Amino acid sequence: MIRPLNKKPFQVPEGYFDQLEKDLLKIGNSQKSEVNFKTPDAYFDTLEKEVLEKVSKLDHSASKKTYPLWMTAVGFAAAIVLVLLIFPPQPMPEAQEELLVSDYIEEYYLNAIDSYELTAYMEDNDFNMEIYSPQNLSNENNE
Amino acid sequence: MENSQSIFIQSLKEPETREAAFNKLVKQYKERLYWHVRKIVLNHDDANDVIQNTFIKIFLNLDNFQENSTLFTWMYRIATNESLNFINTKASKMGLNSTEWMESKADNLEADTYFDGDKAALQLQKAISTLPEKQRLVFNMKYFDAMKYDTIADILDTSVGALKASYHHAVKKIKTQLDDPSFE
Repeated sequence: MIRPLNKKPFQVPEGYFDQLEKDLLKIGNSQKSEVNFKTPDAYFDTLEKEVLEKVSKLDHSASKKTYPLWMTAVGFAAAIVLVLLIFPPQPMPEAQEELLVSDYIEEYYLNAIDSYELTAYMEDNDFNMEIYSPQNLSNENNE
Repeated sequence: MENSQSIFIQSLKEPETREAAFNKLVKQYKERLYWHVRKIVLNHDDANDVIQNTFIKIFLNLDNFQENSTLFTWMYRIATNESLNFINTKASKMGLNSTEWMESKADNLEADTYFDGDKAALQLQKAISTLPEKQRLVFNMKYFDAMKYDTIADILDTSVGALKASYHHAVKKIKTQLDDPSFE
């Protein structure tokens, strides 16, 4: 049995053509502003070239500076070692060191302490009474 | 299985393929991004400066692109921010706020070689220029670009509800201005 021909075999969703019209109007609207705004001739070709040139310069200048951090640290350490080898630090003479210490004590420590306070820190056995013996005093007078 | 955008993004990030991929990106998006910027800043020379800075910023930040949004919305976001920064900087130098600066740019459109709209188009641009920043952006993207609210929300990092309110206010203000016989 031959089925009658279906003159409209294809189906569309309900309300499709109403939505289609709205969508087409939207597409038309999206051209609105572009119609009023213009650009110089061949502007977009020029724009592409300029952007790619600028970006290419950025890319090349960035690639020149690529050194791993460890290489920088090794270089720095090597420079310090070299300086120390060429100019080794000299040990301080003992006498010079003692002088510095006594200067420090006198300037910063003893000057800050009253002489009476200082004696308070001293114990009796810190005093050598022998030097005040009559014999020693007499010997000093004779010198 | 990776989709085509992910593969393209990978090629943008890989040093060996970056240049070729970026060339393709510029070719594909230059016009669309330019018109988006142009609608914001109005003047061609200004739009040219902004779009070039936009592409440079895109290039410099490719490694930072996290794929939280599509490449398209990410680039649009950069273009929008560059445009707004441009306006704010120019306005500040002239001692104006951004709306005042935009209004002066809209006033100059009539004499602009690269604007050939009729009186109605001119009045519309002037009305748009009086809108606050967000309303101006939403109006341009919704009315001229017919973008979906979801997409605009991604670009402007705001909610769909806030955008609908902004658009509603923008349309109302523009209609009031255009209906006013003294508005020029």
